[in-house]
Amino acid sequence: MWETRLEFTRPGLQTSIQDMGREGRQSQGVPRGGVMDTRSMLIANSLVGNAANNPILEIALIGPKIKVTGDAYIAVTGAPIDIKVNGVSSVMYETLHIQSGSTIELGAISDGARSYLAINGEWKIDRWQGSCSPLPIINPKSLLSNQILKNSKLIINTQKLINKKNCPPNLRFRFDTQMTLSVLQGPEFGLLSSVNQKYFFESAFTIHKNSNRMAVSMIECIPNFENEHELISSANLIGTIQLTKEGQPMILMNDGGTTGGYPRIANVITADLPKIAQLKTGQKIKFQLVDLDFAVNEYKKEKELLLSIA
Amino acid sequence: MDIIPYGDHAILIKFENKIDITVNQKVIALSNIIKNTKPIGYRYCIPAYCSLTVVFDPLKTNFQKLKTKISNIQIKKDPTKFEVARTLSIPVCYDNKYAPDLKAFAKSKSLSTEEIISIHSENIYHVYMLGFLPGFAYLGKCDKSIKANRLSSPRLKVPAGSVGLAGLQTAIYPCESPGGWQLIGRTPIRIFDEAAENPFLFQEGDKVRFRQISEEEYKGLEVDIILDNFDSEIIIDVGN
Repeated sequence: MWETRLEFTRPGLQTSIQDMGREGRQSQGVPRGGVMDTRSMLIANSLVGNAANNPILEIALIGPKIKVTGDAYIAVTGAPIDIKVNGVSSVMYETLHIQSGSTIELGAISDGARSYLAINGEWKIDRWQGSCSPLPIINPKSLLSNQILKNSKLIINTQKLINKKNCPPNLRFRFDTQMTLSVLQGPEFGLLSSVNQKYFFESAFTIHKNSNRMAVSMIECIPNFENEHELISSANLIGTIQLTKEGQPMILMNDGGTTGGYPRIANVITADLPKIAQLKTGQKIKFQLVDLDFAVNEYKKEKELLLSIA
Repeated sequence: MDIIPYGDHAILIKFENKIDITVNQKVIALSNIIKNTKPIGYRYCIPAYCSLTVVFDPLKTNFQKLKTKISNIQIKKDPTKFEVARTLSIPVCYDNKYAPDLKAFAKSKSLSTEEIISIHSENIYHVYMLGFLPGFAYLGKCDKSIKANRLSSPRLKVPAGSVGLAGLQTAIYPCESPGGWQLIGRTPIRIFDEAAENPFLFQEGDKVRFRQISEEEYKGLEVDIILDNFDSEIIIDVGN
């Protein structure tokens, strides 16, 4: 075992250290947080021999430039991103051995929104209430350093890795210009008129540029959605689709508010959440209605798949 | 009680659709029973004003099984029986310096600032739920005479400890954050203390009262808290 030091000479657009988040604190106003694309995270950690919930770098849109001191084993997964090690192009979805003194440069993401960089070993970072994931709006001081800035440093106790691996092609992220998300009826689905419902399930929606870890918004509003009264606040879940007063659909994500008063018209099924993490501005999507049996089946299939990876 | 599926891994229990202490106490009571009995596959509860969300593991249970289990739970009829017996007394300084909206708000209500302060601090409030921000407790209900509109454009930075009004609700900002509530005072008490084992002062079902303090007392408490000479237990009265 040896110490590997990373220095971020360029932080990237929005790079953060994440794990699977903190569960069960929503009743105290704390969002779960954690990686947006769980599948890509698990694959990356598995490629470098880490436990499933080992911290990882989540990279949005533009990647960081990192100076590495001490040998490291890394893997990059998720949305396609240009990787250069000492100026030489490298590949995704494979264990890479990085020699001490190297520079890793991750470029821009074209098709997708988030890439994941796993690094073998024990990360010397702070946790708060069981997770290293930074909070939005109010970030506890102990988690500030998990939001990567210029000149941020990260220390990892690296374990020697014998087996290099690569990921089977069928598990790798594939960008899809015709994305369809499966949804269940939400608690306030009944507030949609039949014309509203037809619009919601038959139209294509465009991803709004104001989309982030809190919510992914659509540009189009559902026309003639009439919602005069504010609802009494109730819990939101990851994947809940709420409608604003103007009828704009927003899919609430990992850092989203724990409670809210907007109508929850639908819920994206859990198995499709990694797809939302990869939606990019301007991309078109459609919603298709499924039933609970289908959703639970997909949930089980996705869990089995994730267990087979981890 | 209406029990419906909420996504593929949660169940939503809807109570009478209103902001009412008796209804909310039933929500909290049911939440506590479920937390304590931990049915198979249970993960966690998110109680709100008049609804309870129970998140579960679809690999271990399903909607129908949990629905049956929850439908069979008996909540005691007498709401006083399941009250959490905790009253918190929160010192608040209502001086101008800490109350940027108090003067204009009083004027809009045709009341004096002193009247607003006494109306606000004479009431005993109930913590309906936590949400919005870590540790943010929704307290109600306020007297109708101090019903407040939200600011037309929210402040970008509300200082931690600010006491705000919105509708018939009052709340304390646990940390500096953006916010649209009308600010009528501030407490030096830490509502959210990230270093504490339990970082949150409030829990649903608590009773809260506000005690008016001078600027001098505010500053004294502020120093005590920074120096760690303050035991937050003294503001909590258990078994009231």
